[in-house]
Amino acid sequence: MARRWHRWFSAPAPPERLAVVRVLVGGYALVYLLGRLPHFLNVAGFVDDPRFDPVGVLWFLDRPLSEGAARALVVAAPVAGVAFVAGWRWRISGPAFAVLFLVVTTYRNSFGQVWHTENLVALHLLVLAMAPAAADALSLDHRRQRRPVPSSGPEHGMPLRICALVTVAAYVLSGYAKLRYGGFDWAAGETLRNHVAHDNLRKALLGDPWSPLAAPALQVAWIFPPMAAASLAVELVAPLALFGARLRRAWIAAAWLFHVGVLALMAITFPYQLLGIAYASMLPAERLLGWRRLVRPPPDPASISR
Amino acid sequence: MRTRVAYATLVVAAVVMLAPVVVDRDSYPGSTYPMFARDRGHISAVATAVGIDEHGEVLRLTPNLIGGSDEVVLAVETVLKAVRAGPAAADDLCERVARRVTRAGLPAVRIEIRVETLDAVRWFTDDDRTPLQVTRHAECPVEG
Repeated sequence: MARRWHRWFSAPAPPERLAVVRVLVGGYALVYLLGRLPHFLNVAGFVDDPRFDPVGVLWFLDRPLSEGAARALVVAAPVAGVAFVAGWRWRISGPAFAVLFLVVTTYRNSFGQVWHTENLVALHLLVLAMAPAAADALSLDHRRQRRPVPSSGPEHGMPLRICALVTVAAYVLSGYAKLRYGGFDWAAGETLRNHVAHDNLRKALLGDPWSPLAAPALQVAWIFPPMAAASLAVELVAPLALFGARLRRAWIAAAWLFHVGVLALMAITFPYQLLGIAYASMLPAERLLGWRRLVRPPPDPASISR
Repeated sequence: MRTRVAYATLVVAAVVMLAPVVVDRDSYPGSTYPMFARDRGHISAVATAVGIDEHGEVLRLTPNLIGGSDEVVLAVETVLKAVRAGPAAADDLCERVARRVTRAGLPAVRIEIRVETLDAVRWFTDDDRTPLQVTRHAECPVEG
């Protein structure tokens, strides 16, 4: 059993696969930070704020950071993110960006409300940052060293396996929480219906966009039991994604549809999942490079020889 | 990534993800994933701040005006925390909201920190949008 596990865990993968996942995850995190920069800068201004309730790695703080320090972190994070995506000075920029992203998002979560849309990104960045081989391809480090791309190896496969396990664990824990707090009654649909109503109502009362599908869906009570059962099943059977390509693709499709449903009924966006990047570590992500070649064909050999 | 480092990373990731579940306290990046897990019933108590204009009409305020950020959940939590902390905290929040409303130039003459209790499902299915109950926790003028 242990040998089988180790064989699965340390299966080799092409360096391009790990590199593409690095670019996708890092690129997503970078765009996310830049897109939400005004929000993060705004949170950096929450000085002497009575809501301050630090979580995670910032548990030790007894008061908010000074505005200058918080703003410096918010600005430094995307700078490190550019280096992370480009694979420049990877052994420094990898951990630096992963830690800065974690700190900036943790700080934002330390004012009374923990969000659940960035957990996987933060965890994936940390895992990738622990992998020196993540910059073996598609990186400025690799270009500078002028050496061929190494062959497939376990050092490229293991970080991807850990990312996949983290993804699966997040879904299972989410499903477990529903059973823990709501019991099997959760699958009966009433809890889900109430949440759809409550979440949209809260948005409506605070002048925020709410789902136009909420009202028609809530009129049809019978659709909620199958939706609740399906949601719970998708979360609890996530480990199936670790067994074989067909099961993996089926589970990813189901999980993606689950997030589409959340978006449609509750206007809650999980962009990391909806863009498919959360699942990239489970897929032959290097095939994206083939699309790049289709878009930009290789130069004509005759023109090179001239 | 060497094999030992890979296994160490895996163990750390497992600890980070499981610790909040074991101690039953939500955290980040590990989480108990409490959202949508508990049945909250169809009656919703929404903590909010509203503006009242000179005719006594209610003006709905945005999350930014209430919580100083564009996040709905943070705005609700901000009001909820202030209400739970007592009258002084609710008054303090009321004044902060009033200052933002003044800057935004809304035609509100006063702000109310309140908890509105509504039947969330009926709000959508029966178009019955009357609150079952409104509890006012603080009230303050908007300097004009």
